[in-house]
Amino acid sequence: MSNKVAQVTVVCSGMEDPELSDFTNAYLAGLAEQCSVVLYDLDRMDVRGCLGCYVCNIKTPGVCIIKDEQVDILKAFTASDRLVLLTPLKEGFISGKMKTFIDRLYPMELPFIKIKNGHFIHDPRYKHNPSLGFILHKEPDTDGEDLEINLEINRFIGEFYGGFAFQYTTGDRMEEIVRETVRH
Amino acid sequence: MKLFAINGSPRGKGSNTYRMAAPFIEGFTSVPGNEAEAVHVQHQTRLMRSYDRIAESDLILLAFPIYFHSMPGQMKEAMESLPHAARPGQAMVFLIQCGFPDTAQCRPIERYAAKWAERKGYRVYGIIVKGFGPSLEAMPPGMNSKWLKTIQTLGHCAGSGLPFPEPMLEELRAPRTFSPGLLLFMRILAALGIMDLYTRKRLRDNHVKLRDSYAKPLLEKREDNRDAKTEGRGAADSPR
Repeated sequence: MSNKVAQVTVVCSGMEDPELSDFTNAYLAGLAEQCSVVLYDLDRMDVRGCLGCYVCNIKTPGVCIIKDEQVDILKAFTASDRLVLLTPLKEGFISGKMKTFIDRLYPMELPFIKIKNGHFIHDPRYKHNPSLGFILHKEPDTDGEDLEINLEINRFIGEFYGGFAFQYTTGDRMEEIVRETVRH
Repeated sequence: MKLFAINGSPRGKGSNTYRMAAPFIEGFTSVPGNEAEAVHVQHQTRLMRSYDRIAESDLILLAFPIYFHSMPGQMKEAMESLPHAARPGQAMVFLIQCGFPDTAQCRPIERYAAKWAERKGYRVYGIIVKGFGPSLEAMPPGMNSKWLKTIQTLGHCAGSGLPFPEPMLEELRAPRTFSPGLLLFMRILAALGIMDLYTRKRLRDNHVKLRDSYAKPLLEKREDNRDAKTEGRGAADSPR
């Protein structure tokens, strides 16, 4: 069995920043040599905010009431081994756009409550779930505490799906980020 | 004193978040001379038109639910565009509520909220944390009246310029985590499906069979695709 993942889905936002878009191009080029990659740019897509209606839970299980392009990413989600969320930090935290994408992962969960690692959780709806990697683009005032807070929250969300894989910043070594992204 | 409240739940007025924010607002305005205004986050234009009134207010309440990671995306976007404090020391209260009964997952969000407010130049008046928000929908009103009253008292404190009594905040956010004994008890309840009674009731109300609640609609479509040989990769749901 290969020690590399077969398919990586990258979901990004904030590409108007040339530094971030340069990083993303180099990152995708690095990944493309080793696995199959799908990219979704949230700023070029119609992905609307979650309504908190629970319809995907208790009325039409697994199907969101909002008909927009999120479903394209969810289809890629079920086929991917790793989901990478590439986002600028905005006021110390992942962008609202990226958070909206995360909110809309709700149809990928079952409505029932489970206890895992001492706290409550929902089981994933699908058997195959990608593990989650985060790449954050720092702001001028980003400090170690900001990254620590983001890490703690990002770790938690990984538990709902295929686990938490990593959190890097765009300032980390590209070789290492690519290596960890494709590592099984 | 003036309070400006932002309800960060996209469910608006009927949301559990707003049902918790309302007693805070009531408590605040129960002090003679005080006034309050509330805007729901999905009314983006209205919120943006309120910036001058936010600047005039003495206290801003940011109330939001945890959507299994942090605040809803709409709320984060609203936070990004919210103006900086109009004057040094303008105060802010957070009301953070989550669906799970323990509030462990709120802790880093509280840390973020405090740091974010500081970045924006606001003074943190206090952070109210409450777990098991769906109790408002799932449980009889009598089970919620006591803690809603506590939130009202906190609103009254803020309206009088008094600090929040720590034991009240503690009471609202308990339990942070479960003791091993309680955790075992919860595991048994969860295994028996008792934790899911409300969910099961809602499924029944919507005529969804328990078996159908496990539906995998995306996968079924993929398999159709595979059968039609339009897609090469069909190993989507195989174990890794």
